[in-house]
Amino acid sequence: MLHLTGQSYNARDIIRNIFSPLIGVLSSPQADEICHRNNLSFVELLQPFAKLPNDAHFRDVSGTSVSVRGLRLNFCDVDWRPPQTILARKMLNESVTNAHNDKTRLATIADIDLELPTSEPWFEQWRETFLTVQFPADHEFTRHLLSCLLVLSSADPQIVETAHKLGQRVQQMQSITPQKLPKWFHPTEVLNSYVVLHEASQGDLSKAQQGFELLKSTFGDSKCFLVSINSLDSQSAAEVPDHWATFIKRQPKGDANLPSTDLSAPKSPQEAVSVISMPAMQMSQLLEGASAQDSDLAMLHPLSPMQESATEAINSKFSISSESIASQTINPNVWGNELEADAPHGGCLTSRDIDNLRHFVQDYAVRALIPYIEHLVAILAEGVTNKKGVSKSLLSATKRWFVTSKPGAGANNQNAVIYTKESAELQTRKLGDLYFMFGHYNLAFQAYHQAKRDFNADSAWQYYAGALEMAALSAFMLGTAQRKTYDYMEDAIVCYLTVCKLQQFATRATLLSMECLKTARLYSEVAKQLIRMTNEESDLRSALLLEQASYCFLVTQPPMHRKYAFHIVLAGNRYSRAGQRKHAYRCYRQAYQVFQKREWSLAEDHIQYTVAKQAYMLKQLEEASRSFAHLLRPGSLQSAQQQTSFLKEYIQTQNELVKRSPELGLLPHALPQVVQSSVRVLTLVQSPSAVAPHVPATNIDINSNLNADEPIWNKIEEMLVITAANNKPFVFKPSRYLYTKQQPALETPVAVQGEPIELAVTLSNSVRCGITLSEIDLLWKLTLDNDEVLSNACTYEESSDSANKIAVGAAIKTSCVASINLAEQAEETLHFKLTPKLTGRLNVLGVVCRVAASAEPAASLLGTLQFETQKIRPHNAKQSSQTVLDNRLTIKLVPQLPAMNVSFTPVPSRLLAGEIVPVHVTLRNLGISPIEEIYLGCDNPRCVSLLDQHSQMPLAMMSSLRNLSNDKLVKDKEIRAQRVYRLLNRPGLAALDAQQVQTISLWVQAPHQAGPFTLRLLFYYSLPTVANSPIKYRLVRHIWQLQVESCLQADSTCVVSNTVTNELGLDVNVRNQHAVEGTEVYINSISLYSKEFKLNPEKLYIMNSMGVSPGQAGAQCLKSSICCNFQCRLIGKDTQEEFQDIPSIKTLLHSRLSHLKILPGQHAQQVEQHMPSIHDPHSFLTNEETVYFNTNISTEEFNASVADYVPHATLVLSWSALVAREEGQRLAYGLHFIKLYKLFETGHCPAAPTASFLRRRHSFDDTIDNRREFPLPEGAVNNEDAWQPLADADEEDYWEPNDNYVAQRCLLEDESFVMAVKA
Amino acid sequence: MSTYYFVIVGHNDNPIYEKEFSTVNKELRKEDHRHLTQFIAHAALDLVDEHKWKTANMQLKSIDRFNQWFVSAFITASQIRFIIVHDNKNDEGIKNFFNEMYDTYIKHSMNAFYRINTPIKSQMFEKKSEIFGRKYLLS
Repeated sequence: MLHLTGQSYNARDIIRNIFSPLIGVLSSPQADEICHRNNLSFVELLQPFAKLPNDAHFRDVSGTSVSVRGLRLNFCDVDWRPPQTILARKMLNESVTNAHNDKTRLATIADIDLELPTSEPWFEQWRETFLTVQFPADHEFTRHLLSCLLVLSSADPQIVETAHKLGQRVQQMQSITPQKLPKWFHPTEVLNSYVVLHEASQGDLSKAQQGFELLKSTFGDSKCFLVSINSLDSQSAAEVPDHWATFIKRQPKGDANLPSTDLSAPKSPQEAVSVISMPAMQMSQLLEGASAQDSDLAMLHPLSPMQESATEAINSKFSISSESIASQTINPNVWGNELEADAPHGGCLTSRDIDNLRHFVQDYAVRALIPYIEHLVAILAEGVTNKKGVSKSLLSATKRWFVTSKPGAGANNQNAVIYTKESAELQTRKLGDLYFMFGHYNLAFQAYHQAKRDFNADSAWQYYAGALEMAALSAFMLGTAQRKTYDYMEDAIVCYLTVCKLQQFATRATLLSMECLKTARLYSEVAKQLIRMTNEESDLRSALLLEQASYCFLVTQPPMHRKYAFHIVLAGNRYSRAGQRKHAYRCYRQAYQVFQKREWSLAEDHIQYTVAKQAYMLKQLEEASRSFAHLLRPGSLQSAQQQTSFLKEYIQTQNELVKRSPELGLLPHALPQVVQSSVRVLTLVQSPSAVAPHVPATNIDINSNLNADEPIWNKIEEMLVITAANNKPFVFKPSRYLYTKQQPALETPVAVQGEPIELAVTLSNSVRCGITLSEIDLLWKLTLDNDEVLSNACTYEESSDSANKIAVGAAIKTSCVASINLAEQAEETLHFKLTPKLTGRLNVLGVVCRVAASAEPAASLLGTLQFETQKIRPHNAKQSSQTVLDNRLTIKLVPQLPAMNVSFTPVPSRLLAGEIVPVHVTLRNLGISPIEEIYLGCDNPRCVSLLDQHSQMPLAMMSSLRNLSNDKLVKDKEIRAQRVYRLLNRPGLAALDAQQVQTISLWVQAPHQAGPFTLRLLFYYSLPTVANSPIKYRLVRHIWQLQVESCLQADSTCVVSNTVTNELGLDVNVRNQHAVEGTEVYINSISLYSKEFKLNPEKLYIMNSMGVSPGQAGAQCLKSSICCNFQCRLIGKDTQEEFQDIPSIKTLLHSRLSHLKILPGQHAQQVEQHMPSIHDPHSFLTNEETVYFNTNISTEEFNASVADYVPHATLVLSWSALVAREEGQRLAYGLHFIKLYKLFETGHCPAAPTASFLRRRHSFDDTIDNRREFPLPEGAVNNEDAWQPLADADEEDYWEPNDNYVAQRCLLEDESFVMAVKA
Repeated sequence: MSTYYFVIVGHNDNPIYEKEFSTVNKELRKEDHRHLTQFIAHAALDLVDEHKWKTANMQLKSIDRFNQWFVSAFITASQIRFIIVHDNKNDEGIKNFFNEMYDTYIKHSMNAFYRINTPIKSQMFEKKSEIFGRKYLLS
C-alpha cells in the first residue's frame, strides 16, 4: 500500500514511497485469525512498521556496499487487484469528497487578502488513490511483486503441510504464462519466505518453536521467521497507541454508516440525473461490460495500458461522473473486508509485540530480501553485459546507428517492438528499477539512460517514455537534476500523452514531475505541465490539477494572483462538473476574493451565480441568498431575462432559508431599494374631512414642497402666537409637521395618540424586470411609557402567541395600498398612515412586504426593507465634522389632545377680478375638552373680510381725520392687528365647547389683477396648559389657490365738466374684458367715498352706450368686449365734515359715501344681500382704504406711512356678472375701486400697467396742499397746475397711453377752451 | 467571424472601459463567452505586468492565449493597460487600433472633469472606439 498522505513528506520521500519494493503476502486462515483479533489483517498489521528503522546495506554488482537509508517495504496481499474502471473512478471521487481542510491561512498579494487552505488533503488523497489503483504495466517493473511472504500460525498442527499448500498456490501464480495478476518481478525465481505468527497469550512458545524448527529445516534458515504477537487478551484495554489509524483506509460498510455531512454526493438518482442525464440503455450496456470484465479480471483489466485507450473511449463517450457509479457497491472481498472500520486496532498488542514486528521487518529485509536482490542484480547485470552488442535484428541495428528517431515521427505504432522477457533492453530496465528501488540512484540513472537509448532506437515509445521518466527521477533523487533531466521528464510526459496516448501514465509522470520541479522552485513550469494535463475526459483530474496549478501561480516570483484567480475559477468549474460541490464552492469563493470590488461585472456575476448555486445545493442557504442578492445589485449588466431568473432563484432560496431556520425572522430584501433620502413623515395633521358640500382645510400634504411657502406660514404663526400670548415674552419656534430630507428632524417629532401619522417612502427597482409588492406593511417598534416594548415583527413569526399579536394589532393601525407594481428600473412612492392607539416612543424600522416577479406572482418572498437613519450635516457649522442623526423615524406619541376640524363652503376655482365670494367657515371641536381661544391669521388681509372683526378703525382712515404722526404706535402690534383675527370671542366662555360646531362668515375678494391668486389662512387654537407638554397650541392650515380672470375694466377721471361753474365731473369708462363670449356684466351702482364731494344724483350722462344691449338679467348689460362710458357730476358737500370725537367706522362711512344707480341688473337686490354692505365696517371698502403694512418694513417707513395721508376720493363700482362656464352659468358679483387723487388724472381698476401715475403724483405731493382731495377747483389760478403734469410729462420725455376719447380730446385741445380756462 | 473584446484597465485592476466588436450577429452569438473573455483579460494582466518592463514599446503584442483566444496588450506611459481578447490573428489592425485609442484616451483623460481610474462614460469616446473598431478590427 502506498502512503503519501498524513505525514508531511518531502518530494524525495514521496518518490521513494511510490517506488518502494513490493512484497506479496499470503496468509493461512489460522494466521488471519490471529491478526483479526487486532482488527487487522497481516498486511495492515505491518503497515506502520514497513519502514526499516536502521540502514540496510546493499552490495551492487561491482561489490561496493551501498547503504540504503530508510528503506520502506511495500507489503501487499497477493490476492489484491486494482479495481476496475468504474470502481476506480468512484474511489477517486470519494477520496476527494471525503477530504476536507477548513483551516485557512492568509496570504496578502498585491494588497489583496487571500484566504487559502493550509493544505490540500483532497489532492493528496486523490494522488494516493490514483497511484494505488494504477494497473502494473509491462514496460516497467517497479509495481511487480519482488518476493512473497507466506504467513502461518504457530497453533497450526500441520504447519509444514499448510506451508506447502501456500507455497504451491504462490508458485502457481508465479509460473503461469502469460502472466496474470499479480505480476512478479522475476517469476522464475521468486523469494518465498515463511512467517510464523505466535500468539503469546494463547499458545505455548516451546510448541511454537518446535513447529518453527520444523519449518526451518524444510525451507531453509534464512527463509523462516517467527514473530510473537498478541500478548494480551482482546478483552483487556489496548496498551499501545493506535499506529494504524492513519495507514488504513477502509470503505465503510453500507450506506448507513455514511456520514451525513457528506453533501457533495447526491443522495437520490434523480439528483444525479439532474446533473448528467444518461440513457438507461447505455448504462446497462456499460454495466454488462463491467461484469464481463469482472469474471476475467486478471486477463483484461480496463485500466491496463493495453486497454487504456479503449477505456478512455468508453469514458469519454458516457462522460461518467461520480454520480452514475454511486449506486454500485464496492466489492467487499477486495476492498473492504469483514473487519470493522471504526473499531480500534491492535487491541491485543503490547509494546513488546510492536518491537517484535519492527524487528521482523528489519530482519526480513536484511536476512532474506537484500541477499535476494543482490542475487537478482548479479543475474540481470550478467544478462545485460552478455547480450550487449547483439542486436535483435539488422534493421534495429541500422536504426540504432544511423537514425535519430524522435517520438511521434513516422508511423505512430506504439508497440512497434515486442520484447521478450529476456531481451537485453528489458533486462536493463529491470536492473534500473532494482537499483532505483534500493536507492542506488547513480547506477539506476545509468541503466535507465541506456534503456532509453535502446528503446528510442527501437521506436518503442511507451518503453522509451517510461525509461525517460525514471532517468529524470533518478537524476532528481541523486541530486544532480538539471535542465536536461527536467527536459527528460517533459519529453516523457509529451510522449505518453501524444504518441502513446496513455493519459494515466502522463498524469503519473506529471505528478512526479510536479514534485521535482517544486523542489527546484520552478513553479511556472509546474503550472504549465499541470494545465496541460487538463482535458475533457476527466473533470475531476482536471479540477485537481488546475487547482494545484493555480496555487503555483501564487508562489511564482512575482506572484501572479490574476492567473491564480482565473485558474481557480476553471478548477471550480471542473469540480462542479465532476459533482464535487464543496470543492467547487470553495474554489469559486477563493476566486471571488480577487474579483470582488474590481468591477469586472460579468466575471463577478458568474462567480456569484456559481457560488449561489453550489451553496444552495450544499444547503448553505444564507450564503446562497447573499450571492443571489449580489446578482440583483443595481448597475448589473445582466439582461432582463437573466435577472428574472436570478430573481426567481433568489426568492426560492430565501424562502427555503426562512423555512429552514424560522428563528431568523424577517430577512431584508435585496430589492427593491429604499431611496433612503425620500422618507417623509407627517405628524399632527388632521386628515382633511368634511361633510359633502363643504371643503376641508387643506392642511399640509405629505407631498407638499415646503421650501417656498414655509417662511410665510411661519411668519403668520409667529404673529398668531404672539397675539395669543398677549405679549408674554418667549422664544418663538415654528411648529413642525413634515420631516423630509430638506427639513430634517433635529428633534423628535411629536404625534398625538389616535391621530394619524403619515409616512411616504420611495422604492426603486434596480433590476430589468418588473416586480410586484404585496402585503405591504410598516415594521415598527413601540416603547411604551412603562418601558415595555411592542413590535409588530412578532406578527410575522409563527411561534409567537396570538395574545401578543392582538396586542400589537391594537397598538397601532396601519393602512397602505394592498400592492404595487414596480416596472423595470422604475421608482414608486408608497404612502402609509399609522394611527397609534397608545403613547410612548415609536420607531419606524422599515417596510414589510412580499416581493414577487411580475411575470411570476406565485413565487413570492416576505421580507423587510430597512430604513436607515440619515445623517444631517448642520448648515451653520460646516467646519465641524460632527454629524447629527435624523430623528424623523423616532416619533414621540403624546396623549390625546383637543382637535379642531375646519371646513369651508366651496369657492370656485376661477374667479373674476374683484369678485367677492362669501365663505362659511365651520369650526368643529372634535375633542372632549373645550377650546379656549381661536385665532385666525392671514397672509393677504386685503382680500379677506370677516363679520364683526373691524371694531378698530384702520390707521389710514384715521389719518384722514387727524394727523397721526405724533401718536405712539408700535409697528409690530399694528402689523399683527391687521392680519390676526380672534374668532368666536365670547367673553367668559370658551370659544368652542367640546363637540361644538360654529360657523363663521367670511368673504374673500379676488384681487383686481388677473393671474394666479393664493390666499393662506392659518387657524390657531390653544390647548389646555399641561406641564411639560410638547405641544402648547395647534394649527390648521388652509390655502386657496385660485385663478383670477380679468372681467371688468374700469377707469375714471375727474374733469372740470363745466368751465363756467367749475363743476367737476367724473368720466367713467367700463369695459367687459372677459375672455368668454357669453359673459354679461351689469354695473349696478357707483358710490363715491369722499370727504368733500358727493355724487350728484340728478346728473348722469351716458356718453357711449352703443354696445349696451339687453341681457338675460336686465335691459342693459355689457356683453363681451363691449365698453360703455358715462359721466357723473360731483357736488361739494354742504357742510365741512366735522366730528367731535373719532367716529365709528360705520358713521364715517355713512357720512362720506354717496350712491348712484347706473345700469342695474334684475338681480341687483339679491346681489347686495350676499355682499357685505358697503356701509358696513367689514366691507371691502374698508379694506381698500386700509394701508396694509408689509411685515418686514422698517420703523421709519412705518412711521412715514402712518403720518402720510394722501387726500383722495374712492369711486366704488358695484357690479354683477353672469359668467358662462362649461359647467353652467354662474352669478358673480364684486366691487371695483378707483382711487382718484388729481384732476385730469385717470385712475384705473385694475391698476394701470405702468407705475407712471404714482411716480408723477409723488413728485407733486410736496408742492401742493395735501389736505385737499381735488385742489384745483379752488381757483382759476391754480388751473395751470392742472395741466402742468401733462406739460411736464412732455418735458420729462415720456409718453403715456392716451385713453381719452375723441370728444374729450377735442375739448382738451380746443385752444379756446384752454384760453378760457386761463382767463 | 471574428470577435474582439477590448478593455481598458485602470491601476486598481478595474475595467474602466469595455467594448465588444464582432462580425457575428448579436442574436447568434453565445452570451456564454462574455464572462469568459473578462476572465481571460483579467488573467492576462499578470503577463502584462511581466512583459511591460521587458520592452520599450507600448505595444506588447500577443502576450497570452487560452484555448482559441489570444490576448494582445498595450500599456500607456501612465500604466493604463489596454487589452484585447480576440479569436483570430490581426496584429496590424490591433496595433493601429491601440494607437488610435491611446490618442483618444489621452484626450479624454485631459478633461478636467474626468478622474483617472474611473469608468469612462463619454459619448464621444464611445463613438470613436466604435469607428476605430470597425475600421481596424472588423474590416
